Amino acid sequence: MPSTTTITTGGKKCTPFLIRVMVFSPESGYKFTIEIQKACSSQNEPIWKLLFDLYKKIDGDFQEVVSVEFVAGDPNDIDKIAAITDEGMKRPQVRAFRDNVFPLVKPFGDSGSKPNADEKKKIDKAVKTAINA
Amino acid sequence: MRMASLGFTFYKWMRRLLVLMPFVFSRAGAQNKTACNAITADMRLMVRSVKINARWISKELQQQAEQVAGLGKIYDPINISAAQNLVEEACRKNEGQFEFQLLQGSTSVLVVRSDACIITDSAGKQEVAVSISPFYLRIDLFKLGNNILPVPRSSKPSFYTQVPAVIRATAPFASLYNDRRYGTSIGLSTATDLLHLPGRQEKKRNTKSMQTNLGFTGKKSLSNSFYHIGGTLELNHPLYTDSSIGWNVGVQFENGLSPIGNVSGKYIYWNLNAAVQGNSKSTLLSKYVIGTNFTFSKNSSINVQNSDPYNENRIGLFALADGRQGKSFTRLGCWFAAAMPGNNSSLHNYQQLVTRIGNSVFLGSGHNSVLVETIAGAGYTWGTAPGYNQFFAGNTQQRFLYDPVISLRNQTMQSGPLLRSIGEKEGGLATGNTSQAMDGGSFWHLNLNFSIPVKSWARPLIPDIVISETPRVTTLRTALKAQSETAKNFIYDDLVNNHDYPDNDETDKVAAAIVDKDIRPAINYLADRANVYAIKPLLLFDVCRINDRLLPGKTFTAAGLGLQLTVVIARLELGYMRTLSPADYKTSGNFFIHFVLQNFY
Repeated sequence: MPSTTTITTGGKKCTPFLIRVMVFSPESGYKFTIEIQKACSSQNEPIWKLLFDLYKKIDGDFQEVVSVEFVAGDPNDIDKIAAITDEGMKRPQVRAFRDNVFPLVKPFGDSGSKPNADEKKKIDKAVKTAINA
Repeated sequence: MRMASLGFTFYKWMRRLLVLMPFVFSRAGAQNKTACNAITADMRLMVRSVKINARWISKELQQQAEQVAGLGKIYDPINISAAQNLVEEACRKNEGQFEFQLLQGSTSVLVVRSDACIITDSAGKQEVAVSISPFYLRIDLFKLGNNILPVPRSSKPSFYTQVPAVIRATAPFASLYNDRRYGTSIGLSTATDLLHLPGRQEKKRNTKSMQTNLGFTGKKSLSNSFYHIGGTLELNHPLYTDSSIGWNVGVQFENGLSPIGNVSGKYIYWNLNAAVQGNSKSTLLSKYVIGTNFTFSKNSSINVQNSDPYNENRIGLFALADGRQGKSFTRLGCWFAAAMPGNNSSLHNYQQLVTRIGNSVFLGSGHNSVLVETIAGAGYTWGTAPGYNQFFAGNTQQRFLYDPVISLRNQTMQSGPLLRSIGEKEGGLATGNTSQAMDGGSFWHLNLNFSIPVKSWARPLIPDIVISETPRVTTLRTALKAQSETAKNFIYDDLVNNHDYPDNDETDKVAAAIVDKDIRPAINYLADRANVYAIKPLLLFDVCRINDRLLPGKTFTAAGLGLQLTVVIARLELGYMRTLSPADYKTSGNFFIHFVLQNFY
């Protein structure tokens, strides 16, 4: 274990946060939440994510059945996600999540399986489209 | 003499408090942030502490957060988001049955942010202190009209399962009250929802919306013989949506001894109560309660020898309405009662009507705005009311603007004019120590409060925190307020898809109206004006008049100074008021305290 360290306080700043921006019931027995998360890498590089969690009513209680994490890569996506944090979700975005993302994720909630790489890609694409709607 | 001494003590106490406040609160807000959130894994600093800024945190959550954040290990920013997720998940589970509730009675906003700051110990060793700060605000929409609702006493989430069961089950409400007639009194009230006792599984969803409230209340004057005990049992179906009606039926028992002019009166009464609640389309008064009650009471004067109790049956009607416009809140109330005294031939049937209107408005912007509260009212009696139901001026323990609109206290016939420079029901027309009730058959009153903010004596509920600087500057406040826009858009979507509304601008207006009526004002209030604590000097003015058919009427005027203190779960109002007129009430003033301790969660 190192005993001495050089401190540089003028380094890159990154403050992580998580905000729940939406809880929605697209149909009876299902709920989904959308959260925006800003995480920080080991070198304090910001990582913007959109988390889509699907809940299914099982034995009277809502239980999380699928969790999708979309990591925004290009600056345009980052800007759109940051805009959701600051201004809220626009109507086309709300609609796109309900009409395009939810139907793709729901089967995994019903079957209990996890999306494979291709399916994850498809979902990511739908989330990306919804963000930019 | 005693009152003058009390007034002087109050003055000394206030002076000390005012001198100390800036020191106390400047310390509370001081924190060096220069070395925060700029620490990378390469710096190889150890995590020394992990703190979750919430209430009633379980040991398990604390231990898990410490483990995930890497307590005692090399700090890595990537671990902090994982710890944040853990806290967020705990907050989410804490919400109970997790569902879309926006149109069904409540909504909530949840933000979790973290800070990692360098701390140096006495040996010069530098380590990292991690703090995880969840902000959780639950807004009960059906209580919005209460005017007390948009002030969750803290933005820190409370982990209810860790709250002692007795507190969760009884929701205690403690109070301290003082005026020169009633003396200093302490009180305790409880409210238990028998259908939703802590730990009980809710199997049937439809019982969620129904409440069966059992309440007890007790209050005793420490310096006089006055007291009050009571119990209520109420079946309540709260109002949830614009298209449904809420209702409540209840039975109430009360017994006590209270001041009536120069004498004291004993009372026992049973009250049966029924009311409906609804939303109107009016933007001025958007919520209403109308109802009826039947009261049977026994009243006697303990200062009159051989005084048999007077039985009385009373049928009442009442209507109350609330509205929130911008930064103001308005409440209107009207009460009518037809009374039938029973066992005394000298008493005849009589009727009373009381109306009252109150308004509170914030002047200025931000957390340091002036709050102006105005209450005006009038009352009239047809026939001659017995002493126990005549109108007397005086201080009151009722808080017309702040008691919930559906509370039984607001649904029973209101007392006479509010005059805080004298004690409860002390101001009458009769002079001397008469036991005969020769007091008001009608009245009017106007009361004004100006609470003046002092910037350094308040801390906003939502702090001025920048949660992100790139690609755009986002503050915690703007992130919260953005929720209104999201809410509007998914309400629109819900209306179109689930309620057959057309996909056009008209539906957009409907969604906007729903949000603008309930959600946006509450969120804006929380973000812009609510304080965790605030100490505000108060300026108080009262004017009222009582009239009678036999005696000449009297106009009372009074002015005073006070202090309003709100700290997390407590609200204190205290003040000293002097009667300016009439002359026979000018000799001494009244030191009043109204202190409530609530929301122990």
